[in-house]
Amino acid sequence: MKKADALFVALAAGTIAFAFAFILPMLASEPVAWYYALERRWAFEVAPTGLAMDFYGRTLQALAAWAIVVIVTLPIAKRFKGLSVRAAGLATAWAITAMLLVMLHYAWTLHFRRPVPAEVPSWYQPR
Amino acid sequence: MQPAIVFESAARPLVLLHALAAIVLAGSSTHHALIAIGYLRGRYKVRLGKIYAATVAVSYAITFGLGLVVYPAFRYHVRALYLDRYEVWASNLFDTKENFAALGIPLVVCALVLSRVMNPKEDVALARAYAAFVLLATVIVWFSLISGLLITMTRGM
Repeated sequence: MKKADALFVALAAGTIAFAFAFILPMLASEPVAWYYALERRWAFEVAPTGLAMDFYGRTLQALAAWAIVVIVTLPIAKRFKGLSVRAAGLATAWAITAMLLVMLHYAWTLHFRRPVPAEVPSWYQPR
Repeated sequence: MQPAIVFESAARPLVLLHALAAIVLAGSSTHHALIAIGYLRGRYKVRLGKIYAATVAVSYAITFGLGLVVYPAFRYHVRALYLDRYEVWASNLFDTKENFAALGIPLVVCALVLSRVMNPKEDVALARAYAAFVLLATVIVWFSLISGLLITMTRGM
């Protein structure tokens, strides 16, 4: 397979891996790195016990999945003879569909979310 | 006592830089999308495509990175203390935007790599894939930009 074709196949596979690794903690009660902003500490757990953010952990997890899949897929893709127009179209469709599905899931679940506000501290002065 | 959140004292200038980087990103993404659509219609501005792909990648990294740095201060002072209580729609829109922005990373990287290695005149299938990745990344950029403006109009740092 040509270098450009092999790179595309690896990056399309990496895109799918990124999308699913990013949403996995939300779907499968999987532990992920949480950052507690007020306490300035990290914890690796399924659910937080205070004001914490899993965005960093999920992004890092997705980047790691992306890197692993690209590194593994690239040499495998190079072994194949060539990439047909149909196969390239399928790889594109799978990658874009994976992205759109994950985006739709976030848009749908967050639209209906009712967040619990933090307790207003004594020093707080609304601007 | 007010909690000490990381980069809190520099939050406002960082948000300003984040916004400035987002302006560059929106401009370069839009131009990149027009170049990619041109590939589908037989107009091959390959050199410009490479320039815009690189500009998008750099400005995306800067915008996203600055957003990550300022996020803890925003998460507490803006979201937890105000948006979650009074403007739930803005709180939810922010989380939607941040998740979409993260999902744009592999799209931007793929577009950057393809812009360097493919020949759109010969690699028709890759040119179509490139256009699909660039267009979705551009939609994410504009969604994030408009969402960011709406949220900041509701409650800034």
